[in-house]
Amino acid sequence: MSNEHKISTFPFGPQDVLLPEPIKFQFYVDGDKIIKVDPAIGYVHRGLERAAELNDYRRNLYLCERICGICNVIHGQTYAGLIERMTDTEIPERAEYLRTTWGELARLQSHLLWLGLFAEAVGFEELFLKIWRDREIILQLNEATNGHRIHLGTTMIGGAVKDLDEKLANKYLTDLELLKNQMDNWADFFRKDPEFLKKTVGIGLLPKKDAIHSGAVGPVIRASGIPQDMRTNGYQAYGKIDFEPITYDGCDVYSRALVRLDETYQSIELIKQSLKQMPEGPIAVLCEEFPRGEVVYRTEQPRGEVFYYGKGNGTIHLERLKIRTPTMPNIPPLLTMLTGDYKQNIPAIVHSIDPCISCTERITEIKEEN
Amino acid sequence: MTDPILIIEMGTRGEIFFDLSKCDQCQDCERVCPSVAIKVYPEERKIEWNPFKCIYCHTCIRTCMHGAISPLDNVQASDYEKVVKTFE
Repeated sequence: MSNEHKISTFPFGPQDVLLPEPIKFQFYVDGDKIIKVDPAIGYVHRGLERAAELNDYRRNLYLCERICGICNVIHGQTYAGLIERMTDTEIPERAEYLRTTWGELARLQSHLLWLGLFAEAVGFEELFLKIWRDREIILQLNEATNGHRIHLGTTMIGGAVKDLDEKLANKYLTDLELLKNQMDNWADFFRKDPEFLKKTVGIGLLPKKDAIHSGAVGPVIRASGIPQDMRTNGYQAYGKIDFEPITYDGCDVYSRALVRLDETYQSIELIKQSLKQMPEGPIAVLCEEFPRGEVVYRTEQPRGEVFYYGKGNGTIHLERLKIRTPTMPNIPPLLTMLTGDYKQNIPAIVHSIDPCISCTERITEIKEEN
Repeated sequence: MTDPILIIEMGTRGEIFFDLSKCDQCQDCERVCPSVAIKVYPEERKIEWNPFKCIYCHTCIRTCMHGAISPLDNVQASDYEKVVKTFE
């Protein structure tokens, strides 16, 4: 038998029980070690930017809210922010606080969803059930707020659709306290459980330098020790409440889990602060002009920075709307993490960037074979 | 068979109801509807609303200047008959 190692290849995705979303990886492996990875996206490309150009700019709000189910609130807020900047509309201060509250509520449910999925991906199914049971508290708060469990639909161009009365604000505070107590039951599992540590510490390494060079965003870059967070720019009410980005220096899958776990606690505190400081007053203003000029608007989604570029020409249609969701810049770092690691760690590493491929699909790669 | 209607307590955004006595047939609701679920026929004084196209965002209710559209608290159960509702 020869001692020569032969590089073999195998595909992973676009449909796989371990993959939450349709992305394909072609792995080149030497034994169990990954030598190279080729990604391919474009399986659920929907032509959304073109649809946005054909639509009335007011209807685009509902289109943008449907880019992603989990991030719907922040997508809506970002689009509304973009149009408000294009039309020089100043929204009332109360609306800014309301948007912050609902944005953090969305982050909370997204991180809880991810923590559950991640626990399942590394083999802890009961933990997954516990976390999703607790996530139900947030979904019921959503329903009490505006009627829907996932699609909150509280944003409108010029402010917020709905106000929070005192009864509902008190319900927020009591339910979030309940959620915090429930979370304390399983949070230590992520920090201390030896089996969990064995499966996550030291795998999927993304050193600080690589994180910057490959352009990682969100919890992925914060887990490599860089405090990059769009919320520090102080959009909405973030400039007026105490906020410090959470960072960890581990650069591995474990650090990414801890960043998200700590951010869930942070979100609860931010909602409490926001409700406490919320001023009285109107919740919306009329946005009378048509969008004009070129504007960029960036916000922080649960998965990282989302980028909206809009170009208006003073008519009811936008000339161009470009959207970049956080999973797109997190794919190159993912390749760095996977290269040099082992086959058995693939599910944990792929989950660690919290992939949301359906939101990312703005391009389709077509290979011509001669 | 009666329509099976599911009633949910907490602030549900349910079906919408058009009060034709207040409506002036301006078609604002039709223009703003993001899912093209509303059709207004001004000559016949008739409005058609498709519950299966509707995304229950209630933008039409906020847009109507005459308060002719009001929200209801019900949503359809899964075996709801697929029809377009007409208000005349």
